[in-house]
Amino acid sequence: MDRENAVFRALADPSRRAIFERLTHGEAAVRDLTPRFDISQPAVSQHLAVLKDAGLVTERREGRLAYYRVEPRGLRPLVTWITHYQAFWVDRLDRLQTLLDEMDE
Amino acid sequence: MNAKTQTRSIKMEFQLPHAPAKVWRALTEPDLLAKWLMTTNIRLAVGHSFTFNRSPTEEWDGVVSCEVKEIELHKRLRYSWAALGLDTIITWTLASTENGGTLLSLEQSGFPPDGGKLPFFEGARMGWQQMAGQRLPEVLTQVG
Repeated sequence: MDRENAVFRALADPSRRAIFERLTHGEAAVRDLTPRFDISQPAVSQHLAVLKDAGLVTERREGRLAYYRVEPRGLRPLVTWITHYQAFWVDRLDRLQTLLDEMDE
Repeated sequence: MNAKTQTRSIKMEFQLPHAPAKVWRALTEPDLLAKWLMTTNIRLAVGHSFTFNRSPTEEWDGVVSCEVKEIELHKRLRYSWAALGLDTIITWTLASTENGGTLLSLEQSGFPPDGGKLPFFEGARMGWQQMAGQRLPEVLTQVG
């Protein structure tokens, strides 16, 4: 469950969510992100570190600069937790209807 | 209701052209349940513990632990549903419709708003909603 908790904790913060959402549009360095979020560069770096620890973003070094991008697989725990049941029941109830059509009265 | 006991739920309704007695069978007979839900050893007795099973995945052993809580023949079936560290309650309600069919309602309740085993459920859910409709759906298609 630790993995889930890390992902949930990371995305529970509005600033981190905003940063993550920005990264879904493409790779960015800390300096690209800072002007957009009204928070200091160290704060942005710290948020990125939390997102990275949660497996939600990956880091690529190029010289002195670090670039961050979304790691889609990091969202897997969120997919299983949040959308799991809604999607699950819709799918299963579809099958129930098919079964009922096939059953004798 | 105070904040500590408040929980979230999923609610769904389905109009079915089949009589409640028939729908009830599909909800309670293991052979039929295996065809649309999961394999199970459910038995209609209040207090009976049973499981639903599906193939294990990387994240989940595939076992749902349940206990029958309430039975009202052809009308209402309630059982606990514990999986992935979440303890919830499933309630099926069947109501006859004018044309001889069934209005089937499903409620899964007991999702924690926060605290408990999923302390960040609510925050992440809000985040999910905010991101949905933006780029996220596209990203999710890559999750695999």
